Amino acid sequence: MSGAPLLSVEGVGKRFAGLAAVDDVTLAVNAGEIRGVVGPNGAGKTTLFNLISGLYAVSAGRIRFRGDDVTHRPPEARARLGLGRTYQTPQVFFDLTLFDNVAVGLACRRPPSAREALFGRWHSRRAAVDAVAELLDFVEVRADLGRQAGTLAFGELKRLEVARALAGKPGLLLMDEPAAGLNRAEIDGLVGVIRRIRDGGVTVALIEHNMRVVMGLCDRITVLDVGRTLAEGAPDDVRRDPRVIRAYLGDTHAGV
Amino acid sequence: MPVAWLRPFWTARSLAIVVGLAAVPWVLREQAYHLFQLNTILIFAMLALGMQLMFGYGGILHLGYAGFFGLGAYTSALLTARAGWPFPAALVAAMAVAVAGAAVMTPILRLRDVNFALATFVVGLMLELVYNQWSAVTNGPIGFRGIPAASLLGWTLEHPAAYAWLLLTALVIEYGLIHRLLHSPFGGALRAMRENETACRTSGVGVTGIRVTLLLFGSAMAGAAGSLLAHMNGFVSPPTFGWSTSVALLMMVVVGGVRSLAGAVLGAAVIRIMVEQTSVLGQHSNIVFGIALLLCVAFLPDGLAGLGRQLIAMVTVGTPAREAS
Repeated sequence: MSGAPLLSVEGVGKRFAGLAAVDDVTLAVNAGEIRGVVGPNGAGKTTLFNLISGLYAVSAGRIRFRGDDVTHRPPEARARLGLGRTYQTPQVFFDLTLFDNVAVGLACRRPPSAREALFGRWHSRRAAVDAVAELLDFVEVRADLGRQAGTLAFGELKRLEVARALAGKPGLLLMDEPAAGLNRAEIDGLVGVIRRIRDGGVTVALIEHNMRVVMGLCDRITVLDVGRTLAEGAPDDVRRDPRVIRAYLGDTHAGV
Repeated sequence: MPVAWLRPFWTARSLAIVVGLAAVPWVLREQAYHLFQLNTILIFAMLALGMQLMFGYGGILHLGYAGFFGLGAYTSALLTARAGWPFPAALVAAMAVAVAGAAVMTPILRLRDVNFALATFVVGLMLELVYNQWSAVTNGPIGFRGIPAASLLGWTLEHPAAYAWLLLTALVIEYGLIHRLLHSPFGGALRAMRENETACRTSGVGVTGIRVTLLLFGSAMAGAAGSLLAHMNGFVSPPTFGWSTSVALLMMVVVGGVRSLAGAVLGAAVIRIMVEQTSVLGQHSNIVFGIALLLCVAFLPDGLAGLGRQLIAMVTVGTPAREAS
């Protein structure tokens, strides 16, 4: 895939009752990178992720993934094309077992035929259990597969959600504030997990407020402000960009 | 066992229950009235299972369900009595027509909750209207007579005990299919959908496909039950397929226990027996039903199945026996 970005967001906007949550965002994510999306509260970061994963319909613009125009495809179709997603507060299936949680993601990997889905064993029992165990091990959730997800600690829930997303073998994983609500040790573990995800060939785009995480992890950073792309570049360049400083700290601190 | 969707259907317990049930028609072989009651219960149990699958597991409240029961009944009646089809072919055709009817109404699956329930209610009313008004085909409110008894492989199942075994076989097949469905990857997706639709969709599981599958599967079961009813009584008439039957099926599911297959069968039996026992009250029997339903919702949130599970847990003392939903 020389040249063409993995994901390209072209002039995308989203209005809610006339109010632009995302005004005009253009963004290209290349295969193999870890991209950070940052910006003050209300900048439209989560809305942008919801547009990319298809939970919201765009009001304007176009979204391409792996060269396909996915602007009007439903979220399940985008997920099957390889767009994985995690949420700021983990959206796991609390009443289900760890196994069932991750197994939902397996459906993405190879959509079963109608017969298999309804009555078949789909993957053999062993293969499914092994795949799930391997994924949970990868995200460092060490608990019985039959345990109910709701009994996990918050940090484990976030990693369980990552395992479910990875079960679908995504090409791009969208992570909405992966470090939010975690303590320092958990954050360090998470940074390791995200690095290993990228090293495993999965491109990562993450929204994050924790600057230590963003600066330490991301290859490139996109800064959003009031629904627009404010700046983009390597972490060190972005950090020094006066427009970014102004957006975060206000005009009086722009340090002229 | 972590893999809920690979739980087997045939266990020593289920086998014992089926063998026990199979003995009932033989015990009752001389009692035509009780056999008639048993057969009616078995048919309603088939319908309640379909309702359980759609409503209990899938959250699809289909208030026109009895109309599809009628679609199966009239299709089978017409094909055997007027066109001379053999019973097995008519049974398959009844299921196909009910599924085709449901396929036509799949666009209303876009609606949710109360809106969907209302739309299906109207579909049910329309079907009942057709059964009442299209006299040339259905013989209208007078009812359709002269439906031949079912015959299978050269055997004519005229004795109600023989018919009970046919119904029991059909019920076990349906129960087994739904059990398998719920303990397959599809069942996993279904449980996930009930809990968090957004997470399902961004994990690649489309909700529409699941809802369509449930509706079509449930309708096939209603079509089969309709055909079996027609050949049991030799007579069908429109009121059987009206909205009150759909509501009765919903009651069976709620009283029996939402999200329990055994509960649906139990609910069908209890409600049918109550209908029979209160028939002397005429219109006033509804008061009894209303009170029973209220008590059930207030004191048995998990229905009779939940009560049964509690009792079993009390007796066995240990890990609570909990139906994998």
